[in-house]
Amino acid sequence: MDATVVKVILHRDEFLLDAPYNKEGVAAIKKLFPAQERRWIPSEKKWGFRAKGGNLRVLKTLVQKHWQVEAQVVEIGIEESQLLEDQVPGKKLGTIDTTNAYSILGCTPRSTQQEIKDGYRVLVKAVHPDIGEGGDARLFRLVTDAYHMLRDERARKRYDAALRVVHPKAMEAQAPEFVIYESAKSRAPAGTAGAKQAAKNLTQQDKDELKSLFEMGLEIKTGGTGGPITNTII
Amino acid sequence: MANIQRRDTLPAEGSVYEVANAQSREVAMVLADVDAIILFDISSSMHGEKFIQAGRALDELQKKFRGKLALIEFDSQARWRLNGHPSAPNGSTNLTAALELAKPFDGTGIRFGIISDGAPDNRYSAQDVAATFEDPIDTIFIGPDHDMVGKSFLESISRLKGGKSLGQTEVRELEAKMTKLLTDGN
Repeated sequence: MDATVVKVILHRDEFLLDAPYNKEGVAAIKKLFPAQERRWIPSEKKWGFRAKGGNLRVLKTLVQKHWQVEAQVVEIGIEESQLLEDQVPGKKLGTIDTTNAYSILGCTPRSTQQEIKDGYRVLVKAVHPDIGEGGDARLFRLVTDAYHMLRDERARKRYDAALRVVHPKAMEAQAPEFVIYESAKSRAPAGTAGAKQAAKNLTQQDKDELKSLFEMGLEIKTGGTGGPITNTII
Repeated sequence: MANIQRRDTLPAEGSVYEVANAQSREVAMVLADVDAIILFDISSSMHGEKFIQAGRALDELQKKFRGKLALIEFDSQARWRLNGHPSAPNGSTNLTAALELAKPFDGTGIRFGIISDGAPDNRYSAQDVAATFEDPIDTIFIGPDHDMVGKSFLESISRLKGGKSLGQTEVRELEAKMTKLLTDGN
């Protein structure tokens, strides 16, 4: 019998957990990671986690406890990650949606300036021609052009007006599919009323997770400013 | 015949569509990059030689200011003509609709230029919309000498926000005068 191998794959902005099925392990994942920090990728049969140091530490501990092996942490290159993305329906980090300046940066017309800046910083590093393999001068130009179009309010106002002329429906666009960490929090309007609304919006799965987190003594804040949470990790 | 078809189907050289196509850029990005929006009167009074000459002037201007001019035409309604070709003259002079179409670009440092040969259908509503603009509106009157109403109306629109007004312009001078307006700065 082969020894169990568990990999934590750093894939741009996400840790992918490549591990055999383990009931207790899955329960622990659901218990320890809030919904906005994790997602299940059915086509890959992998869990994805927002890539940050804290999550990696928790993942390694969790793997050790429930799979009883040391997690192998690996980083995959851009070409390989692009192949991986092609296999994940709806996730478009590797295949930039060039419909308009917002979609190029993974944003929507409702995104904040900070979200646009973050989208740019993530992408420009990934496609910069100087990074060697994976760098793409054409994509780099697209990304920088899009950012220059949206980086200040005046230019953005003009672009929005132009977009309304050319693609009126684009201004009603929802968050791109690769905004993967949307949670009940992101669906909530601001303020106390927003928090109440958020509570109404919770799915049974959300409620179960909240319950388990409260049992662990963790505090969950609801409410927020609304709008999608975009990838802010670089 | 071939030339007519060509003109109808291909975007004018230097127009928003042509530049977007030539540079493989998104049309909205090219439109957002223009320096000026021209509001061009295609009411029935423009019919004939005046329209032909004005059309030629627009062609030349778009070539000269490649990707920097966008066209809105207005008769009884207003429409964007990103292919750079105005439609055949017809109907009345709904300048209000044209100003409303251009309004979302106002406040972004863009120039607006109205080319018309007379007073609009509703002077009051056009003036009301023009008064909401932050950026200046330049006007060029290409109507007959005796049409003092049309001429003074366009002057009043320019005065609202410090735009320039070129009264009584011969259509054959349109290209040169527009070039001067566009290169003179504010």
